[in-house]
Amino acid sequence: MRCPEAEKMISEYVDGGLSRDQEAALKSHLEACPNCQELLRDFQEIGREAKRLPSLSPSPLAWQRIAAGVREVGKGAPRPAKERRSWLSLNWGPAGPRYAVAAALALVIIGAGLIVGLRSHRGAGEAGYTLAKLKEAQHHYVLAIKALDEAIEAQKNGLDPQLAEVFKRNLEAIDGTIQAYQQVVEKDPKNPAARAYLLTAYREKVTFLEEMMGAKRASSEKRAGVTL
Amino acid sequence: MTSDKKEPGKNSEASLSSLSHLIKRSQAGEERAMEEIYERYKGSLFNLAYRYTYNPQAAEDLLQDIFIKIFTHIRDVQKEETFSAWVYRIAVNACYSYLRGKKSRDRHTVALSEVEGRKEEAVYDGHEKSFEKPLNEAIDELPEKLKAVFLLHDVQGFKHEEIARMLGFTVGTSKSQLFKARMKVREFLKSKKILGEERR
Repeated sequence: MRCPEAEKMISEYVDGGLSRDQEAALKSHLEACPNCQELLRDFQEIGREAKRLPSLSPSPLAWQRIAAGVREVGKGAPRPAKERRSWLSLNWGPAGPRYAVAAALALVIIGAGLIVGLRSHRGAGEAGYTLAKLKEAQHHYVLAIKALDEAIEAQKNGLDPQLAEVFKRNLEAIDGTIQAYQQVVEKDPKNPAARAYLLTAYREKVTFLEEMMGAKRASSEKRAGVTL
Repeated sequence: MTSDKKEPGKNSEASLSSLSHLIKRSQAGEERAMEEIYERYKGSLFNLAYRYTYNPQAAEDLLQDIFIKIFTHIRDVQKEETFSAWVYRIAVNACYSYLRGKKSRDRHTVALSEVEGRKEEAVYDGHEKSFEKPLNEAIDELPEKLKAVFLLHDVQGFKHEEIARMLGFTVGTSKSQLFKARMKVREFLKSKKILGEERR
């Protein structure tokens, strides 16, 4: 038996797919061929390690997105084929559900942050640089959130009480996530991954507050339209 | 993280019968049945999508596309025995489309690298001679079809007969594709000194 033939058989041998005769022939080749012995060890190791790769889970809210998508398609509504569909850009009809879903998206993305592992193994210099940039970004997000809070507070007209309740509940959930990440960062301030997750949560809060401001503005314009 | 590599109990008679029931209820538009089907397949399809994108958000978008396609076409399913193969074929095709559409994009974008404003470089230190990171990179380098066979067989544990049904080719092709994929993975890992005599 020549090596090219043996190599293909090794792949099947690793999976237990050879007949007895084929196996005997391969073993006889292996005894005399260190290269094929090495290939066998490598294939076995690759197979073993591939099975040990960690399994990930989609975020808990993924099904809600899918179910909404199926319902949307079922209604015959147009749907972009390939483009990323943002929940914020979908026409959800009444304002309440639309913003509730926007909040859900915020949580989905924050949840997704949980399964992003820290992907690189850097030297101390790189880690320091990353940490400094993350701290800087965190500072900007805190400022942005403060400004948005103030702007929302300054809007004279309130939201429809039902919608306000939806916002309140979702905001509490986002704040809960932020708090959880803050605790992780406090415990391990030099961990850039923890800070990156916190940043994701801040970013989603900014998006959520922007939506909230838009909803307030829309409510206010609606009221103005009625009274005119 | 979960440990689900492969959709559970796929071949057992009881499981098939229950799947058949779920398919029928889904065909009638029952959302609860669709959710149960989603629960059965979500782990393995999400992991497949993740290893085509290496981006959890993109993988979740792909998962969404895959399941919307499944449930909007579920009325076409005639035989429940072929349902799993059909589901995986939809998933793999969606993954191929993702790769074709996103080749120019950096597939490794994560929030951290966005903040840093530069691409991460692979560094394998002494502690990280482990396989996970380099193996993921090796998988990422595989051509789309070899990747599908490698992921389904070596990572998710499907048999060649099942893969052949899913991907629409022969068992022999599945075996030869797997051999090529393993050779490429090996070549990559050797080039990074993760495999070979230096390591042993």
